[in-house]
Amino acid sequence: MSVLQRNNVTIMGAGTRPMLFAHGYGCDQHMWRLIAPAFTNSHRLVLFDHVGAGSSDLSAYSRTKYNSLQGYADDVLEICDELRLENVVFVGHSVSAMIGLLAAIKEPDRFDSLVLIGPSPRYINDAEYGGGFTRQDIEELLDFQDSNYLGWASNLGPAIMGNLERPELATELTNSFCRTDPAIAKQFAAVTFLSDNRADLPKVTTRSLILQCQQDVIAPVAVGEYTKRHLSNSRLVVMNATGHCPHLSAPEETTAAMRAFLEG
Amino acid sequence: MNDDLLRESLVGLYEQAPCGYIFTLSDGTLMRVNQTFLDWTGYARDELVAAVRFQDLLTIPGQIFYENQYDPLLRMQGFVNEVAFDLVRKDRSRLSVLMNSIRRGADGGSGLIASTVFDATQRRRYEHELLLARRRAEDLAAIVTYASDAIVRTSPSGEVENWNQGAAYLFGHAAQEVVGRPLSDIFTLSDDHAENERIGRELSAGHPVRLERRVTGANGRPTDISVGITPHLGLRGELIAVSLIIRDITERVRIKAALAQRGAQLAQAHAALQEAHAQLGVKARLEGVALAARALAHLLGNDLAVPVGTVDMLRDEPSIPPVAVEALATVAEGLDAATRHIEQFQQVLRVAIKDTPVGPSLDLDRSTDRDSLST
Repeated sequence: MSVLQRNNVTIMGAGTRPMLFAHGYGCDQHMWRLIAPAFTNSHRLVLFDHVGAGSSDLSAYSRTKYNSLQGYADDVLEICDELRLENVVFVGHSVSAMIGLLAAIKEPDRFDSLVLIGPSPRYINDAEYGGGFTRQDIEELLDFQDSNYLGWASNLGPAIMGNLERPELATELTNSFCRTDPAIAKQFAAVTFLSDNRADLPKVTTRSLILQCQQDVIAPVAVGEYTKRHLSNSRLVVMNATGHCPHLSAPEETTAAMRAFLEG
Repeated sequence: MNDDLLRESLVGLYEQAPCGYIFTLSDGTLMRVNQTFLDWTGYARDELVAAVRFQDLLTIPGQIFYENQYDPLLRMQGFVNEVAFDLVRKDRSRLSVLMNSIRRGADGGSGLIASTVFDATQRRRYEHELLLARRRAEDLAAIVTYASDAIVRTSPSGEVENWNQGAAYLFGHAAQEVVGRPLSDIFTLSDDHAENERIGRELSAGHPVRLERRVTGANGRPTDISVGITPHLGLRGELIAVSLIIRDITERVRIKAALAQRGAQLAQAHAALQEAHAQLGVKARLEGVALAARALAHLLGNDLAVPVGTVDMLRDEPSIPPVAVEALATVAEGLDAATRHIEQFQQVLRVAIKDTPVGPSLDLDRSTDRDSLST
């Protein structure tokens, strides 16, 4: 089974410079539906689902491989390799921001720049570091997974997928785009929210943009500032948008910030 | 008048609905809440409306879920149903709810979100119990699935209902090949029809059965197994299922046989040793006797030397009467004969002792010392 099938890779756009979109925890590549169109003329867009999410091949899931973010980073590099992508602009949301950093550490020559939306190198508070959560919060989170699994299981949405290239024609999406195998979701949540990548930040040399929302419970402003401080060659943009998904809640502001960064 | 009543009723319908009924902006800011929601959360209206976002009323896990899944889904799809949240009341206690939300008004980022919130306390308790029970069942199932012993369940009439990995490994058939088929297709509990019937009767009476047997295992190899069969009876004492735990004891049987063989060999060796010991005793005695006899023969030879010399001397004496000379000649013959016999005896005593199948014996082909033999 090919990498492209495994990760349900979608390729679109008329440009030549590759832009790779990596969705965060919880949903799948449809999250990029509102900002992808802004780059279809200037770039070649590559979208994919992490293994275990969306329409990826669940049989490719391995508890040992995906027991750390490096497993996901290796998949990113495999996709780049399979498609022979060079000078990639990597756009990663939430945990995929860290995944992108890990990929750029392993193959720095592969990437032109990184766009990190709502990144956090560590979610749990430390003696001198405020990730935003206590360990108990995260333990509660992992328990909470189960109750919403049962909730989701009875949820039946219309089974028609949206069209990413022509969002104005999009019909209803099924709930399944934010639902994944509950056992996999639980492990992905554990790996994400128990991760600590602070030591990896100084290893990145790739030019990076940090897009930080206000009132983001998951990646608070202080965390964005911490990331900027320890990521050399990075720029921090604090947006007007609130919440954790500006690419959905404020697509124009997001694309504008990205364009400004990409054009220098 | 009817309009007033209707309006009042409609307002009443909204405010006193048996569910929370709220409207929020896209960013979650509460814009309108009904009385039920206020009663449930313990807040006053002015503490919430235009002041607080809905997600601020959630627990931390709920907030993460809200940002990562609930909100994206609502934006992409326009509605979300039956999401489980825990609301945090003003007094910090928790209320378990199920929520349905729908986007109203303009598409995209603007417009209001209408949500109904249902008190799901009982339902969540029930789900929690279900979850616990399911986890327990999964743990047990995992034990059965991965046990190295074969664990099989059949219907009362012997069709396979459950076939774990251990069974697949032992017999070389995967579960899907076997479930639904009679277990006797794979192996029988006895080659004897009457015995099979007897076992069936025991099981129907609720008695467990143990047996050992040789069957054909995976790859057609003969395999020794021990089988523990447990009948499961229903409420009225009828047989509803049979479970079997089957263990491959080929190795154990083989080791037992090897030990028995080794034991027999040891007994044989022991007997041989004892025999050899006994024969050694005989040999030693024989050698002892021979040594004593040799010493005695030597002494006898010495004893004869003086008489022989004396007789020779006397025979050379001229003054001996002729009668005495004849007598002396006879004595000399006798002494010569004795000397010859002692020498022969000494020859015999020089012969070695050899081991034969019937015990130690004289080895006439060999002598123990290199004295030249005089004839």
